[in-house]
Amino acid sequence: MSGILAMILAGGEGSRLFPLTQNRTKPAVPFGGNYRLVDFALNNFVNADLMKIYVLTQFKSQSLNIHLRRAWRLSGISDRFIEAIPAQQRVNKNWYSGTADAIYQNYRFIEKSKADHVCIFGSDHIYKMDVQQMVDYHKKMGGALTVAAIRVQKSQAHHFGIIEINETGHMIGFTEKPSIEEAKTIPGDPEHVLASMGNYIFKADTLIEELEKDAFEENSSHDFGKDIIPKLFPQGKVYVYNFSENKIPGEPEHAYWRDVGTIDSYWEAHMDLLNDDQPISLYNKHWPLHTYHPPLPPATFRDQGDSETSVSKSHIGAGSYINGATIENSILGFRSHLCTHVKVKGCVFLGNAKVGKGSRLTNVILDKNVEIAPNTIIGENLEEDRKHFTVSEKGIVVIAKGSRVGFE
Amino acid sequence: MAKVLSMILAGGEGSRLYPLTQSRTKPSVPFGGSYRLIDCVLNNFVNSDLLRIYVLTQFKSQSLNSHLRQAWELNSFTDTFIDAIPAQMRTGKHWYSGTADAIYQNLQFIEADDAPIVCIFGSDHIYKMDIRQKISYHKEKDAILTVSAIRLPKEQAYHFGIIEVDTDGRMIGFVEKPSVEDAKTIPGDPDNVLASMGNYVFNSQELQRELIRDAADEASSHDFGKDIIPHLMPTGKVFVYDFTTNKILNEDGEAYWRDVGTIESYWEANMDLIKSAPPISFYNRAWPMHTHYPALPAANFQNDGDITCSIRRSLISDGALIIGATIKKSVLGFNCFVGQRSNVYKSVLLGDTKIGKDCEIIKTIIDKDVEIADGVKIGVNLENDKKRFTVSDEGIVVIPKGSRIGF
Repeated sequence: MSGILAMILAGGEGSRLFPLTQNRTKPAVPFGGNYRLVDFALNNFVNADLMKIYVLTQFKSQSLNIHLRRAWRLSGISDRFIEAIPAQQRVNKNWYSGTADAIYQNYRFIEKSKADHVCIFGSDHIYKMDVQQMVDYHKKMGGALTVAAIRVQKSQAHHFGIIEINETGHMIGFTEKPSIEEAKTIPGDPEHVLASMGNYIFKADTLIEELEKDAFEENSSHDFGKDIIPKLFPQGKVYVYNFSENKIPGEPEHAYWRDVGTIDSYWEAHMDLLNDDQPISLYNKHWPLHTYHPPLPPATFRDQGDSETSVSKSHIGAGSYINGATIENSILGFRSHLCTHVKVKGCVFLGNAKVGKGSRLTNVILDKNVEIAPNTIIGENLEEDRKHFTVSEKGIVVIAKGSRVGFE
Repeated sequence: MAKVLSMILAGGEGSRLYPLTQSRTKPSVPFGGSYRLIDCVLNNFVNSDLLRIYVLTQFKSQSLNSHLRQAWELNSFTDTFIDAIPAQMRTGKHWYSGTADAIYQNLQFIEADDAPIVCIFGSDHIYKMDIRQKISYHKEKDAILTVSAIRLPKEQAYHFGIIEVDTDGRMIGFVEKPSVEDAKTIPGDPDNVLASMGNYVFNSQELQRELIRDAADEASSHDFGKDIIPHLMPTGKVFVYDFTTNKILNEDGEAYWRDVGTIESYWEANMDLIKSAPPISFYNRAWPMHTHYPALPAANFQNDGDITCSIRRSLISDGALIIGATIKKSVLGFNCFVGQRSNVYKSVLLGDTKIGKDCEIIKTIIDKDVEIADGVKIGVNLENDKKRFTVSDEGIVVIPKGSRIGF
């Protein structure tokens, strides 16, 4: 499979995830206790045995770089690699102006790789895809470009870029966030539309040709969705890969794919992990989710006097220290320390948190390195919380990295 | 610090830990949820910045080799390494006949190295030691050999090799497992004795010379404790390093060192980790405990209807799935499943364990890859358990690797 090169776009600023993206680029935002967002895209390639991967970084990438080095470094004997490429003014002195520009500024790496096909994937969605199956489809159809799409309810169309296809699987139209009435449904399936997942497989020569043309186009925004694809599909060269066709052993029937671009969607994706129906699980021995694991002992449960620990529907990461607390519907990352009589419900801890005794936290996201003073109550009076913290539309309170809350 | 070469003896059969050592060498026995026994000594070297390490293997070493590769491979372009050396008949067609013979058969690795100091450590004890401090002591004393020892109450002397020292720390006598009356106490401390920890710091030249001499001695059992040390002691250049003087940042409790050579001591050392004031913990950020972490999500707790999980004084590792069960005073390794309404008490699960619904598991060590059917009770009726399993004198039940119980 030496002919496949992957370029993962990992430069996202993720401004709607603020303050989680205050110090780190979006793909480096922790997720699900042990992971970072970028791990999902990387596992999709690595578990598909596609291991020639460049990760294109730009915005506040130090945290991402450290993670890639610790978790994803391959030993040097084979021609496999996972390598970060920082924005480095290879073509001009500008930052990346769009997704296509990001690839254009690094097109030499594509030429150098002599790859036949190039996978260009985002890195801020939660999903599992055997990319090899999409590669096989791309080769079988023989198009210049294959775009991955997910079937979604027509009523959701206004959130996505909606792809129109014909019976042969060719892309024949594309509308960014159309109204429900305008959204083109799938032939033979009038209830559903196909939403672009922002994942592309190009024939390498077409890609380079198109990027060069686009680079000199003054009116272009240098974006795959807005500029490159609209030019290619009228020529009948673009196919659509239906993500629902992607099958991974041990995974549920319905394909799961979530954008976690806002605080609310980020929190909801965590709650999906705890849902009884488990639309997505992080556990599947056929699809291990690799990541960096710091040297920490197992989660430790103690009890102090009358304070017992009761846990329901929750995940608790290694190095946690639970000292007689009640934990409900929560995901606690590495090194979560809960003192006695603490109650957490609907919470997501990104790691290394300490919550003082008697505190109650409801629907709170705690970024890393936060310390909460004893008897602090958060999430029960949102008016009050808004004075101190970011509170999302749906009422999720976010405590920024490194905060010390409730101390004099 | 001068260059140091380290040799870790990891060939132990661990027959008293049977059946945990049925398919693996002792240093490879899982411990404390996430670890293998050998991780303690390797972390001692790595956290001491001593990164030139040979691990000498012999008995059923495949599991150990995989662990070393997964957890301890140094991706390094400098001259640091952690390399396993299997027994390979370098001096003749025989296995290692003693600890000194194990080193002698690999003498050429020491000869080929320009390190003036060689550390020879065992790999089946639970403890933390900053080995740099021991090496500084070795140099300060201008010793040929420095032996680590732990201070113990005189009453325990008969379990250990007891070292007699003079007021300067020089070794002047050594008796294997003496009676309490015969045990020589520490000068100025008549209630305590010094027990050898089986860890040695040698000057490389003298070590090489001694090993060659000992190899030619037909009467020798080729053991450091029995042959090499008694021979070197009269030189007055063998010193004893008191482990209680070893200080690790952020740790100020009493020095902890446990042999986990028997089922009972193995179980007790696991229980030490979950005491309310644990005598040893693996949390210290200044002394991280590295190991291999399989690709698993955080421990997952689900309800059985309205019944939540009740967890008291336990360690629960990644990949666990606990459904409305009660876990008390137990250590659960990676990937443990405990079903609805089951009760796990004072038990040690080594990992990849599946316990069905309504089970009762008490004071049981469950080796890896074990599946237990719904409603099974273990540790409740020991007479019954003895018919099926290994049960220690102290009533600890051991379920061997790969068992399927109650189907």
